[in-house]
Amino acid sequence: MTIKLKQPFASNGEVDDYDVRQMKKMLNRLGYYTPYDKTGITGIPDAEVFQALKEFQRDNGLPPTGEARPSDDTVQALNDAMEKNPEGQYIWRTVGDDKVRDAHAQYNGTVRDFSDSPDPGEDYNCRCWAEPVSDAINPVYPELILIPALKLGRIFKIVSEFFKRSDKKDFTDHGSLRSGQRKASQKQIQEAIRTAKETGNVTTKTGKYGTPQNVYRGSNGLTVVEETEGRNAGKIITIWWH
Amino acid sequence: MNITSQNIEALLRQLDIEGYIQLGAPSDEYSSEAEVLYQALSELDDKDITQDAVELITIEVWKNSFNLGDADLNMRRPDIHNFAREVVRLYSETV
Repeated sequence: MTIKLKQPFASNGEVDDYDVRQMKKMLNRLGYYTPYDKTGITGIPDAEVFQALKEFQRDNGLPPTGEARPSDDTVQALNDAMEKNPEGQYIWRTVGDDKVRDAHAQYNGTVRDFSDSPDPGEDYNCRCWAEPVSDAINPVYPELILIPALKLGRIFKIVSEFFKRSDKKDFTDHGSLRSGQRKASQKQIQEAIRTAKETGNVTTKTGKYGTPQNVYRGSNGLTVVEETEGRNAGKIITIWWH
Repeated sequence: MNITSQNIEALLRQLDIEGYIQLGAPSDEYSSEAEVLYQALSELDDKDITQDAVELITIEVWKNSFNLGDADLNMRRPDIHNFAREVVRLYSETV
């Protein structure tokens, strides 16, 4: 995999869609960029790709501008880094929808060597990406060798299909599923938050893993729990009728 | 596989990995996770039901359901490990 930009790549200018895809794939393979898992690799120039480029530049002794131009030092450094073909392994990830190629769906969740072919994102319009195998998670993965890739791909597809049912942005999937199961409408949830604020029934608690949470005890009988910091800041994580 | 989704849900309720039940949530708080874990584990042959396999699948479920990153998952690993151990134990008792 090599990168060849068509035009300058910068957050303050118009960027080429294909350039963005190339840059994301390259930075992903080098361990600097992880796409949002519901969309995978896209041509959208999100802030994360420019931040990832800055980090790559910093690590490679280049000015951390988060920008690149066709054939400049940054592009050369990216291609050099890829040519070295980093040793190690990654986990193939797909978006998990019905547009994923069958072959790629079978790779989903499997551990592969960086030297394996194809690369995630290599095929035309492929949105797949490589997830680093972190040291902390690593002890689990040797087991993957014992579970056939086809079977594991099917299991991971079951999981992603299950959670695809929920698509509310202001909820975690768990929160969204709970609101459905407990028959709480968006209107009732908003009502609970509003009345809890009005009556002073908002408690800030620390979650089991140290994340602050607001617990809204609404006058309509609904309790809404929202995380206030971290990855799920502003998201409703669960609700119940009290 | 002789484990039921009810068995799995009972284990999840008991372990309360996210602490939501302790916070006041009802006892069926983890029913969705139990359902998908049951579906996923049902794909495995008997010989594949090992602690590592159950742990791996549980991590995938947790990552999706609770929108967790690697650091968040690492904090939950002891509880997930315990859950997987109990599933394997339950399975060995029911085979």
